[in-house]
Amino acid sequence: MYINLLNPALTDKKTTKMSDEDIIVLFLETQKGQYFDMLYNRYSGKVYGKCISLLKNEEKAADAMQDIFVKILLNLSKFSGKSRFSTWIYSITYNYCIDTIRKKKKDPLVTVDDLTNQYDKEAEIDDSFILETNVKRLKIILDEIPLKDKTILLMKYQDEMSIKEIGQLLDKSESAIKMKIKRAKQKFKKTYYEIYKES
Amino acid sequence: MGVNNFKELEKEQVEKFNQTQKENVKNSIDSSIGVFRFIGDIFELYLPKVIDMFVRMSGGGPNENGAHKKKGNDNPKYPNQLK
Repeated sequence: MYINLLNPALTDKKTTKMSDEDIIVLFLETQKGQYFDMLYNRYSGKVYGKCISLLKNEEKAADAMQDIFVKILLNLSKFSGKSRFSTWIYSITYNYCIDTIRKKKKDPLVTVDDLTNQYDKEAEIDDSFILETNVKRLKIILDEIPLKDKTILLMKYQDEMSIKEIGQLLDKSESAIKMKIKRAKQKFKKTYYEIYKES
Repeated sequence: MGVNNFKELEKEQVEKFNQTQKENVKNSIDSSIGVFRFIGDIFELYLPKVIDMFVRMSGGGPNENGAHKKKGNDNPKYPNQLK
């Protein structure tokens, strides 16, 4: 398949159907910029969305994107294919943004609050409550809740990452991730009712 | 499939990233990579020469295979020693 795709007569239709992994193989074999451009066109919007959502500043988001894509390009050969390429890209994005915010705020992602948390005893919140919150409110609440809660909710609901993938990314056990998600959902609900009391 | 407004939020954010921004960021990435390539080329070109210089300074020289070896090692320790 790869050999045929190296043909200059390659059609756009074929390239758009190619999987990320195929594009990476082609890029690593040929070092042609056009393959990296394809990955950039596929993911730049989503990476920008995450950067702006976490960094809350267009200029910083653009700078972060530049650094993230340079990092991706330089480390593309290290992509093992164990996870989806999108998960790999998003993990680089989250780690970069979290590091940037941490450096600025010195706000640790894991706090003592994580160990003994009041939310542990509370009931599980239904996913539909979070998923069906209207977009405008969703954006406001995500900007209000702590970064660690926001990040984990984005990973689970926006990127549809599995518990295992989130665990690998944050270097935590699956049970720890489940607990973090539960707490993040509770924080989300609490913040929702604090802002929209009438609801 | 149920409603997922996280996806809607993502769509909104992706739409905000217009073509001009996309091209600007791409150009910045290309120039960063260009700098890396330039530095890489410089290293590729001059590093062997620098290593060669250090080897010569430490008394080594190229042998018949092109590899470096110390000049002093040509002579055996003892006059009757078999090579």
